[in-house]
Amino acid sequence: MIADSVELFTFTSNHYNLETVLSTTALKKQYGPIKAVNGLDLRVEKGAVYGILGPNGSGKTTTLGMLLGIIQPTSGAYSWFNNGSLDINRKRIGSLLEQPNFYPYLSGEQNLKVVAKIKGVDEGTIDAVLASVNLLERKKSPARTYSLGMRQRLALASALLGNPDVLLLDEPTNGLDPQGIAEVREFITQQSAQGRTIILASHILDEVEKVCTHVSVIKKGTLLAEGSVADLIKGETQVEIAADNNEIVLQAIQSFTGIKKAAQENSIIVINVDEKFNAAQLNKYLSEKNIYLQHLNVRKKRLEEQFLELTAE
Amino acid sequence: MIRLLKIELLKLVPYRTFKILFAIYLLLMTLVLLVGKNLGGSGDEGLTSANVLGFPNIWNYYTLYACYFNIILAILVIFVTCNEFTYRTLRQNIIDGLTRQEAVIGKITLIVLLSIITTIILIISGLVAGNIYSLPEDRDQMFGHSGFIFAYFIQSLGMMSMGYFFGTLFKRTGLAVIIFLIFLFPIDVILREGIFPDGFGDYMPVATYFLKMVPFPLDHTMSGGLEPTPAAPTALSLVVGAAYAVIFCGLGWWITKKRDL
Repeated sequence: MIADSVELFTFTSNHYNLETVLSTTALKKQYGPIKAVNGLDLRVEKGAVYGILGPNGSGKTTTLGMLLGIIQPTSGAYSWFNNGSLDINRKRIGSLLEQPNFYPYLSGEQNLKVVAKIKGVDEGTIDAVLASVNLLERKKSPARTYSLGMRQRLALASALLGNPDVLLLDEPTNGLDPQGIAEVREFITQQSAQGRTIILASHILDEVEKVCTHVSVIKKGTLLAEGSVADLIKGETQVEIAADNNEIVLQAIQSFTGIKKAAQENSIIVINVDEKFNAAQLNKYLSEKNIYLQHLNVRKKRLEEQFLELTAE
Repeated sequence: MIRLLKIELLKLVPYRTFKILFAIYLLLMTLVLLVGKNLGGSGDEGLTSANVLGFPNIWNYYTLYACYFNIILAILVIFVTCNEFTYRTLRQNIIDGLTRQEAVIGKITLIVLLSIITTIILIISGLVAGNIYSLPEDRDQMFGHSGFIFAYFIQSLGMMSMGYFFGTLFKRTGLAVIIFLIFLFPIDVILREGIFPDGFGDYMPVATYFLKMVPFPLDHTMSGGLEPTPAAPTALSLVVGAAYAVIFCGLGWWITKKRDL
């Protein structure tokens, strides 16, 4: 099952013509016997909103940590902007990794001054990024007095300093209230519209589905699927049917064209179909066998189901 | 280098603990001179203020006491270093584009700057006290025995480097400070007296900094100021003291380079 899916969602070759922002080759991180990241090959093209989707503990943060130089890979390689793993690449990346980290005794503005000095960015741009996340009035208050939402916004402001080409966000909506979540998603959409490439790690499908153009699904440090969100969602169509006697139906449809897999779930038969499948033909075919359906429903498989299927044991 | 120092100062100057510890340091540096001011009574083995605070002996006696205040600065460096781990800001700095090497060099330049400042404080207060208490005929020896000023500078560097090393190694402030203090007192005595009693132990880090580089002018004190104070620290003690500073910083750099943050 998993093998099928991987094949189905692997990048098609035409994607490689675009400009590559990030690529990883067999990236691996091992903590003793535990393989946190196990030979990951990723490729992120310019302008994409790239989601890294995986359950908690699947190696997302470890992967991003390696890409940002704070965790030493056990083996494998990564390259930003086709420029290898040089430290200088990080100045073109705005990052928010896990919770925001600041000097609590420094004000929001002073914290950003430190970041500006590190990135070699003019301090004159600090007010502008603070304004863009609505923190200008509180810029003189110590960061420890900020609420979680404000700290998150300060972290986003910090990520924007120096006008980065890439924004790398790890679980950016974690712990936020619904309004905070909406603000962060709005922020991502805006930033993407301005031409920035966005890499978003998340365990929330809905989030990835709503904001991402591309997604890779990882579990236990292994890549399960990679492709455009549209591909992943349209990837499989499912048909639900039900009749008085489902056993007979299951028998009858075995030879029908376009059916990949059929299984009974409760009182409904769920059929995975390919593009050759035609619902009207099925209906006709069954009625010719004197089987009359009580229920016929064609639906797109949701990313959530794909995800659960992919990550199932 | 200047950029890295500026980054460190942005973090340090508004830090209240720094202001308090540095104020305590300044207070002690000046108040300790009062100890020498009231000498000359009976029971002082004949020493007078002029013996202790006059040139050039002041550089022997002042550095001898001032050395201990560097423990405060070493603990300050532990605070500053451990903060980067507890606030996870070292990690953040690296993510923002600082290299690990730059992070280490930033801390080292800060230590060098603080050492220069403490040495300047020592020189200024030493000159003021010396000019007040020197006998007229000793005035021309204002910069006699100035090797001890240099020893004090090396000692400042070394103590703060030690603090940097302990802070980097243990990451948590409380733990690092306690282990630093244990290293400062019992461990060093055990190494010196218990394990390496044959002279080698005298060149353990703490012994080098507190006993070898600024030795107590015993003959001068016991003779009531008749015997001279040592004219200079031994070259060996300076070399060993400087080497320890390099080793502590080097170890800090090595750990930072290896470690996942």
